Amino acid sequence: MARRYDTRTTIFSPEGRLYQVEYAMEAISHAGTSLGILATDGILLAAERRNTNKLLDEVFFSEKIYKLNDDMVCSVAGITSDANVLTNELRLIAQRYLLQYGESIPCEQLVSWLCDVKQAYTQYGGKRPFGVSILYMGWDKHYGYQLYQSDPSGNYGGWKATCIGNNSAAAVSSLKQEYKENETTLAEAQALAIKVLSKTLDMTKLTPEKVEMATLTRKDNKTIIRILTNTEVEKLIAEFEKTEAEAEAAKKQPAKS
Amino acid sequence: MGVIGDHADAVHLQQYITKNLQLYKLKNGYELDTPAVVHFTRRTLSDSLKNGNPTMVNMLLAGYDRNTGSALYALDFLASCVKVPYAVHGFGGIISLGILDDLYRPTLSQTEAYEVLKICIREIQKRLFANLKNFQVKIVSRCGIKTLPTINADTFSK
Repeated sequence: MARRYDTRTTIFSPEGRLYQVEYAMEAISHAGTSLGILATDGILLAAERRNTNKLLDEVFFSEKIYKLNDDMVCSVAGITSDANVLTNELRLIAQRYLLQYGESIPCEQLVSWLCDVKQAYTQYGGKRPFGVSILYMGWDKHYGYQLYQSDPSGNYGGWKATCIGNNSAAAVSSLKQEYKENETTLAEAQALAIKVLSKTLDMTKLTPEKVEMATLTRKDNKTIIRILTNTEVEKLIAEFEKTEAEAEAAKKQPAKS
Repeated sequence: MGVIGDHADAVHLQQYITKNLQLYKLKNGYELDTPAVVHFTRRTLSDSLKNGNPTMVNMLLAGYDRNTGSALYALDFLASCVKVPYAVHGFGGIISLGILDDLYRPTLSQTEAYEVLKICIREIQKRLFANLKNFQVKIVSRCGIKTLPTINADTFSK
């Protein structure tokens, strides 16, 4: 019954749903995880890298994390080719603002603008929506550090910590328990990100090749965007495994005595 | 913003800029700061110039931002733009520029600055071939925008 109403994106179903948008979100839930955490002294984005084939030539430094302008970075989950189009558009929007006002675009304005573009694909044109959800992290002088998430419907929200992609619901509930607002530093956020990612990755053990992490901080009135090196990620994973082992050992202790 | 030149262009530009600024404030909840406003204004002048439809105005833009204080910018019909401590436009301005060069100090108070303006205007009214009777004076500060007493012939006869 529903099948009759989902061949065209730009119409509602009798129950008042937009099926193409929902199918797009379904496509994203099978894609590699991306999560973002807002800390007191910075923000971080972490993503699961799926293309770990040894034969892949390393053209880009990062598979899923893109720099948008001097003050903003985004991470995507979903169809990579759609993501490329959107990140290109985001960079254009940011540069157009810079050209007109001579200053960096405030974070929410960039997100809002792209979401208006995404919404257009759900209402007219007859084209399918973009199968991408995006996490944005950025700094601006109005609201400081900010984390946003947008989805194919064109909705967006500001978050303290969130996750998109595979197993995102489990990750979000995990973040909800562990994240402490106004008390989490960037270092603690990094450890938390590794912890949550290890749960969302299907059974496989965490290795540095599978994880991408980027941080955004401010120093001396300038934004510093860093993509963590393999060694740094390895160190974080090692520390995580150490704390896990200690926790396991602590659990076993009472059972003995 | 003080605009001189072609009257229609002046009014149109002034309204275009202020309405766009209000729209920005409504859309985003915060205002553009002075350098951004100046950049936007200069860009507007530049685009119209390059598209063959120049906006024939010269202008002075003054703004106050809480973190950087007050600033004055001089723009002209060729879309040039410069941040200055004092500026003039027009024939009367050419007469006054020497006086400003001589009397300007970065430490002038509001009343002292008003007095310097009075000296400039007295010279304009004495020496310029045109009779410019009334000069409107406004001040931009952290208290907002205030109108100071108009300077005209009566100011000097008292």
